[in-house]
Amino acid sequence: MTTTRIVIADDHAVVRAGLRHILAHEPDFQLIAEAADGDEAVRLALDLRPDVVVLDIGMPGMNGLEVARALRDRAPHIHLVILTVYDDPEYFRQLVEIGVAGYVLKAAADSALVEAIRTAQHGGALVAGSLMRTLLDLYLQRAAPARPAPAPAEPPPGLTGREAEVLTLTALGYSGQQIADRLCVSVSTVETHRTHLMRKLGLKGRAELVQYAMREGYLDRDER
Amino acid sequence: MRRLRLRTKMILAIGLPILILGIAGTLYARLMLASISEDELDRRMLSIARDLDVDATDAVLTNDLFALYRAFTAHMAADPDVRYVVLLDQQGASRLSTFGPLVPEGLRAANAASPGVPYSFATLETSEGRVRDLAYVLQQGQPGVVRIGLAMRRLEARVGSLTANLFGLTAATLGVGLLVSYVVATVLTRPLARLADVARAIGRGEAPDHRALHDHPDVGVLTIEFDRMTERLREKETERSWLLAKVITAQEDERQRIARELHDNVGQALTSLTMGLARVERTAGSTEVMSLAAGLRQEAARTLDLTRHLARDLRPSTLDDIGLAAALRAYVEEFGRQHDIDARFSAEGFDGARLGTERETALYRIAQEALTNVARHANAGHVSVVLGTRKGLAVLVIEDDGIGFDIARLLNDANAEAKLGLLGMYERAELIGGTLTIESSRDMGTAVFVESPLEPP
Repeated sequence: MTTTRIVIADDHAVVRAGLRHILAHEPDFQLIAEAADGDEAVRLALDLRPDVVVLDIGMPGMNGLEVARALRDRAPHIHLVILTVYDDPEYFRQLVEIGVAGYVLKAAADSALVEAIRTAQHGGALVAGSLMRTLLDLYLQRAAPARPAPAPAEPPPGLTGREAEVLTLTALGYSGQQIADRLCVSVSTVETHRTHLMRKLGLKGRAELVQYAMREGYLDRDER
Repeated sequence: MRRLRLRTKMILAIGLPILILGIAGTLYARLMLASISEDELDRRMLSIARDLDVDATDAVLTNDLFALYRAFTAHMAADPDVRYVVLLDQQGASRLSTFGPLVPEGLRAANAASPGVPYSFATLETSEGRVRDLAYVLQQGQPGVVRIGLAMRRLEARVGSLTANLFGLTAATLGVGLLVSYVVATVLTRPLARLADVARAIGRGEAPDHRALHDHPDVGVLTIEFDRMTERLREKETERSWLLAKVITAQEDERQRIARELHDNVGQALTSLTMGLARVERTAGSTEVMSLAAGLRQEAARTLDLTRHLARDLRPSTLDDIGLAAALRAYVEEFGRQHDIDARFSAEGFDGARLGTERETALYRIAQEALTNVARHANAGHVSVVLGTRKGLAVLVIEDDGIGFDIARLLNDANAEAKLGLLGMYERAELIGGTLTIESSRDMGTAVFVESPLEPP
């Protein structure tokens, strides 16, 4: 039975005590060191070369994100299991990008954590149930082209030249008055064009408009 | 338009005296001329009457009335103004007249010398105009009265012509005077007009060069003091902005502190509580204890959640740790869930630049305020929050499809709460060197546009 050598990093003493206890229950786990802040975590990880580092995000000095980045750079073989209160998709996204083997929420600690450590040790990954949706969305987004397409020669299908202009300028975040001034028309004309083009393209709201414009390459490169 | 008042006053100050003097002078001259001319007229008549006095006595002595008549007509011929000469006897009957046998009615009675008075003058109104009538009592011998009438028309015409000329002269003088005074007044009031323009430009935020005005003998002092005043106002404004920035920073620092306290102390306690209860649950001796522990653990977990929500509302850690886009995305998603509105976020046009803590905080708070307004007032079904970059600017747009509002009216409304939020948004944008624009209408909903420079100020 191989022993999994573990380093834990958390700024809360009580949490560390709890983790100590949980890990002690598992015969194949060996807790070799504890860190109370990010710098210490990196130092210990690089010195002791554990198999798994259980890492909190919210720590003073270097936070968990920065520790994760540092360790992926300098000791990529160490499996990182994040143990955090943040079920915030944003943190999750960032850490997935950095490359972690597990993301466990403190609220569901103990059992999930043990399983996450084991899974990581075996090369797998475990993600808290509530974040699976976010993970799947991330995957879908990555499948879609991230780079903006080159500017197409023609306006979008069904739109007049003017409507295409209003589309681009709106996507760039110009106000109605600014667009009206640029095109030398009235604000109400701009609004009419906008309503028409939204309907023609089946877009609901500005966010969708920007996404469409970005995807199809109608955000004028010179402006940006 | 207002500066015409002083100029108008100056023009009137010159014009009115000219006008008054002109009119007064003309009238005076007219009166004097009329008076002198009338005196002259009377003297002529008296002279004629005295001549006729001698002629009449001779005529009676020689009983040659015809000679007298010839004298009458001679005078008439000599002086074109003489209209008539009539000789009346003591009873007032006409003995001789240039009218012929018929003397106009009323003439006899029109002018009669009182007893003891040698002659009397009267002015008669006739169908031909005014006539000066002399009733002269014959002195030389024969009793009787000579009546001579002189038409005043020519005299009146001359007086009238003089009056007209004088009026014309007055008018010409007035015209020249007004022109000159207009030019002079314009030149003199120009520095004031210039100073007014400068004041207006400064009010718009420009800085026009007006050093030349400082040396002006009249307006110079005013200009210098005016500049001092604007300088003081600018200093005050700078102070105020500085103070406001400090207040906002202090507020953010405090929020951050409280959020951290919540996370560190309260969160830590609740976490350890949760973990401890998990242990109790695991090692429970009986199902009763286990279910009790489970319930308590869930309670603790919920409380922990609440605390974290509170901390995030105060100041999200994603804002500091990851960035504005991440923080906004989370906020918008939460907002949509909480208020059951279709809330979308897009940062596709945002290249992930970090704008610095102050800028990102300001943009985040503006978005928060805008979304709060959407939830409270807009009655919207959809709201989009878009973050992007464009030509050295970060652009944030919060747009809803709600009922819109009247910006101007809200800013003038005494209702402090709603106005405060709006003003706060403007102030925050200004403090980071950006601009905030709001477009709102009943048809299109409301859109808040924030532009912020990417370079640090």
